[in-house]
Amino acid sequence: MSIDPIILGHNQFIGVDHLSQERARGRVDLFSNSQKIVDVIKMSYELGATGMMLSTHQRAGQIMEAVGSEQELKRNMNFYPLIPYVQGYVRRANEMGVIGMLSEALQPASTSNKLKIFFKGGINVMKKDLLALLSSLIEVELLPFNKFNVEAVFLHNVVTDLALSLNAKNIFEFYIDYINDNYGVKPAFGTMNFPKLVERFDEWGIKQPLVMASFNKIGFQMNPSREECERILREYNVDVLAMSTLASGYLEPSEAYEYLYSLPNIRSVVVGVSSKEHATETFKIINNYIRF
Amino acid sequence: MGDSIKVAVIGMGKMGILHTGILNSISDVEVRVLVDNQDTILSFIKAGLPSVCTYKNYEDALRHEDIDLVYITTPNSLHTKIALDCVEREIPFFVEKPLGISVDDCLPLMELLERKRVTNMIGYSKRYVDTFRKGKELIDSGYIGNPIYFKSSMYVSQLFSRGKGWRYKKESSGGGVLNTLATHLVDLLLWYFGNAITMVGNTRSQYSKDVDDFVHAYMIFESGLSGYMDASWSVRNYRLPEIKIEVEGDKGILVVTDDFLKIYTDDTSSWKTSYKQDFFKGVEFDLGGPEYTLENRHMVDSVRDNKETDVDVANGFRTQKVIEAIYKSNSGKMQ
Repeated sequence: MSIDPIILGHNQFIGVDHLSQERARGRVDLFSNSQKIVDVIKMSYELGATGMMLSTHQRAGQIMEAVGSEQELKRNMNFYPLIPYVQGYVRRANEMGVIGMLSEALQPASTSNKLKIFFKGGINVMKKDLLALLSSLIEVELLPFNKFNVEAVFLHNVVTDLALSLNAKNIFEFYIDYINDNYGVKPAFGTMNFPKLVERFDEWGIKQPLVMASFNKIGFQMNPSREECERILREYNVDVLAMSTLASGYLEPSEAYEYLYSLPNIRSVVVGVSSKEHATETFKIINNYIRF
Repeated sequence: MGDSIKVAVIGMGKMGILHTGILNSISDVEVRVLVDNQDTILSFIKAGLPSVCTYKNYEDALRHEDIDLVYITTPNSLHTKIALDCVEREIPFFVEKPLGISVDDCLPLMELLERKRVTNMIGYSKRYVDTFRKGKELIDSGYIGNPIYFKSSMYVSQLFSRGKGWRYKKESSGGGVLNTLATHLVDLLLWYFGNAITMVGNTRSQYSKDVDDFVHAYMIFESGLSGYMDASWSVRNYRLPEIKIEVEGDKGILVVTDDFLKIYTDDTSSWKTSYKQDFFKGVEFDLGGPEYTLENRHMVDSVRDNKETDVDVANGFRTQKVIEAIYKSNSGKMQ
């Protein structure tokens, strides 16, 4: 399958840092100017990160607009949306209840022609038909990416894992068909439970899925254990986009990638960088491994 | 291992769904019954779990089903009523935090539990976060000496307009950020430092009409330790709820957050930092954070072994008393 071997991550741009939320707050200042984000994307592209993952955070639209003004990036860079931005929905649900949250989330749909008719049915119709509701949410979430090259759309790990935990085969089948049929790109899945997801997909006959999961030397966010994740990686036909490869900045790139590239089936890696020094060092090390 | 523990989950909001997902994914547990007064979510979950029975009324479920353990994940004002029914029927239960909406609301449950022993637990999940657990160990071992002073906070960017739903109505939530969210922080402080004897607080509404959006409180503990607690759900730039506790001891300082733990001791004259990465161990199934899985595993094991849990509802009652004292000190202030 085709996926960029190095994908720039987005956490540093939107105030996510799994080592320290305090550090994340500092970065929110730095990247409150979208041009600063575009500068990092451009630099990363030049260093070999030809793909970029972007969560559909409230700033996604603004960031994509800024990227769109850079012709080279717009033409050549591949984007990997991560949907939905779960934390936003949780916060809004806490603030205004689930129905209020959904009504607000679907607001942009009222201006999209494709969804106009559907939206007229209103929230009460959608409540009765969960899959129709999901399709509207996906449409809205993907609006910022309309004019860009999208290779695969990743389902956020919280949604994947929730559907997995509830044995909701219908949700997975719906998502796969919907992304394939409407966008013609690869449906993909984030997870914190790599072994369970891959085994269940195998049972359900979902062949060679593209999965984003944590792989790092210290087993951080690898459930139920690093050993079990490695076994599944060896034994199943699965394409992996590795995340948390530096265990959120805990590991040095040299030791981290020595481990990562000793594993089979790692097709790509998503890395967040925010400074030129960090980007140069990290991408140079990764490039050395993927070249050979 | 024996038979699976058969669970009923009552209330399919955010926390009900989360616990259902985890319980359905860990070993030796069978989610058998789901209760909610709305059909939508029940029919959705039933699609994947056809063997689950669904009810609109929890009393019918308790009457008709053979259940080993009940999870109570309803709005706060229903917690103690359902818990009382569980104790009457001698069914072990897990109740989400906080225990209730007031001390009076919790009293009948606490009185009945004195007469009837039933395994129970309250969802103070922060106790299962590695960094906070390590903090407790270090304080208990005397690493920083006797605690003298602390300051602590819990913030999240959640509410910047009038909130909708049960959380923002005092009659169903028992209070705003203090009773609904900062109850986690109060529980950690009581876990770390023992009984609190004096509370002076101020609560304030900015966006809400009926409940508090900000709380500032000063607390004195039996040991003589005193310090501050500050919490809000209406501050910007806190994407996730974050707790920070800083403790000055007579031999050093401890700073603990959800992400890391920092220690300074006079002996070494240096800081040492540990991150959650240092403590991480995989869990059977992660949904929303390993702490929820550890919490549920402890609950289920305690039921199977017919043992008390580490975080029984007496802890919730103690926290409820502190919270009420803070609310009362606020309403008694001079105009």
